[in-house]
Amino acid sequence: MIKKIALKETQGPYSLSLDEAQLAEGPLILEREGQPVAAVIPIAEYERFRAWEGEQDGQRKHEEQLRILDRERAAFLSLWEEPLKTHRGQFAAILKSQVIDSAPTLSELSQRVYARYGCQVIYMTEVRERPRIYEFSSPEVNG
Amino acid sequence: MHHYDPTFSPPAPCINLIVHHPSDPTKAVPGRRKLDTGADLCVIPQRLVTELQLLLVDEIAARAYDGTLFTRPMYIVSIEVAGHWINNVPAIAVQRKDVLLGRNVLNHLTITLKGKDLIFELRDP
Repeated sequence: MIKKIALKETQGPYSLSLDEAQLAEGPLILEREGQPVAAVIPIAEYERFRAWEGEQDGQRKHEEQLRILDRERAAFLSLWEEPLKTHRGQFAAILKSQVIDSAPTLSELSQRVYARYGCQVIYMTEVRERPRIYEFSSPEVNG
Repeated sequence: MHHYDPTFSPPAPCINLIVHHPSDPTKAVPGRRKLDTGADLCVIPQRLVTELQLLLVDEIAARAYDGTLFTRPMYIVSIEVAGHWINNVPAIAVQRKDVLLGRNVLNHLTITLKGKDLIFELRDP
């Protein structure tokens, strides 16, 4: 059940009497001049909303990064034969469709490229004929 | 000396650690994590990607315990464990609550499991 409270323009602070049981019945809508201006909901519901909002934001950022990564990966694959001759067994970093650096380990490579090019999406991958398949033998990890 | 976590059945070697953004160590998330010698790489919860604002590095192919193949995004993190820093290590993100410390971190350390006493030692050689 949605309960409504009309706000009046006064100088003093508003005083609302709320308890959990009241909020459990539904949101409390605050109105000014007949128009809804705010909703009061239980804090647990607000926290769930914030968590959901965070997940949505994370998903948007991930999709944005994935688009950049896909572009760099496509550029790298178009150059594939050359890096395979020159960087086989190394990790290569690709930025703006160019191989910008390589190193024997991803740790070494990432330290160098982030220091030099700053925090941005840089595609870093192992140069090998077939992609490596990493093993996760714990039942706690699955797709 | 660290104690096994008795909330696992049977008890498992777990340790407090902090996962950091690789370029900004002030972005950090602490927690208690399990040692997993069966994992090639560290595994982080998906939520840490947002909390630490991690950058995508690659997408990797992985094989689960039952042989299932799957693809997961890979990120770079730094890990502070028992006073030791292991910088810029790759980690995959999955939907789970806590981190698994894989061999790409464990192999930087000397770990002695004393399962009979439910304790373990962890040193940086």
